[in-house]
Parts: sequence; C-alpha cells; structure tokens
Amino acid sequence: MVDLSVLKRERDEAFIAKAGPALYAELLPKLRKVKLARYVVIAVETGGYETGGTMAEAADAFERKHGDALGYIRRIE
Amino acid sequence: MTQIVGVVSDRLWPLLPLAVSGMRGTLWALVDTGFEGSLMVPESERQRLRLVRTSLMASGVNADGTSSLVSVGRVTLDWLGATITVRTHVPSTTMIDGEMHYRSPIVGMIGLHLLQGLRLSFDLYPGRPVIVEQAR
Repeated sequence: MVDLSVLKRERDEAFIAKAGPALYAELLPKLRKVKLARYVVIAVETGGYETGGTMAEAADAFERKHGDALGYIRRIE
Repeated sequence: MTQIVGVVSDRLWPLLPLAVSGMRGTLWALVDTGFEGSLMVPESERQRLRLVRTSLMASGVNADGTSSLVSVGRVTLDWLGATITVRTHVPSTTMIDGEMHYRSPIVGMIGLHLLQGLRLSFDLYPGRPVIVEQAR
C-alpha cells in the first residue's frame, strides 16, 4: 500500500528544493540590509520570511508567524 | 549538572553522551566543529531519538563545497541540567551511521550552535575525557 504521507513529504521537499533557492536569490539584496540577520527561513508558498542571528532563532520566529508552512532555511551570504 | 563528560574514542573521535529527554541508555554523539548547526542525526535514528518532524528544510554547504538540502526536525535533550529542544538536521545518511563506541551507538553529530557560549576541552588521546561546561 502506498504511504500517502511519504508521497506528500517527497513532493513538499521537491517544491522547497526548487522554490527555495530562487526566492532566496530574489530576496538577497533586502536580506543583506537586515541588521544581525545571519539566517533566513523563507515560506516557499507565499514568499514571506523571517530572519535571526542563529538558525534556531530564525526557525522559531518563522513557526510563530507561519505555523507549519513549508520553509527553506539558509545562511545569508 | 554543571558539565557533561564524554571520551575520546579509539578513532580519536571526541564523543559526548547524548541524553534524549525521558529516555534511558547511553547514546553518543561526535563533536564536529566543522558543522554549524546544533545536532545532526540520520533518518534511521528518527524513532530512537523521538525526533519530531517539521515542515522546514535547511540548505548547507558541505566540506567539499557542494551544497545539500536536508530535513529539519526537533529533538528534546537533557543538556547541562536543563531540558532543551534542539533544531536537528536529518539527512538520509551520515558518516556515523552504524558506528558504536564499545556497545553503545553513536547516533549523531554535535555542531557549533549547541556548544555556543560553552567551554569544550579535551586532549586528543584515546580514552581521555571530553568536557563541556559553562564558559568562565
């Protein structure tokens, strides 16, 4: 029997892998101006984002605001 | 608890005991100062570590310059006398998969963020202690 949750997870991961880097590239000039922001989590379905000094800070802020939306985390370079 | 004491393994791996909250038994984690996250455990350890899935994925750069995207979960640990929830990278495989220290499994890698603000000290000889404590 097909495990639908696995299929959904694989589809979500593929979407994050495709949309995340493109959104990050678009947002980068703006992100570089945010003070003390070293990490960003981007909501790949809406383009919203949260930043933080650490991955945990950014992820906590993201989950507070966006709940369990699909998120792409990366260090701001 | 003011310090956590581990050991340098026969392979010169600095190991720390990993205390998953509410769980008995000894698990070890390798200290990897080249890893910028807090904790990394392979997918195969998900159940043993009671890892909670999230809807997040993290992009990172590997030692060879390639990039990868891995799932992010949450693990609850007893750490220096406190119970903390740690954002955890969950790749499909890691270099420590199936590795043991004597009869106890090495289940993950501890990175810089879990050690931030702490003192990490060890002499790189097999059997010597690896100590994590509050920085003075």
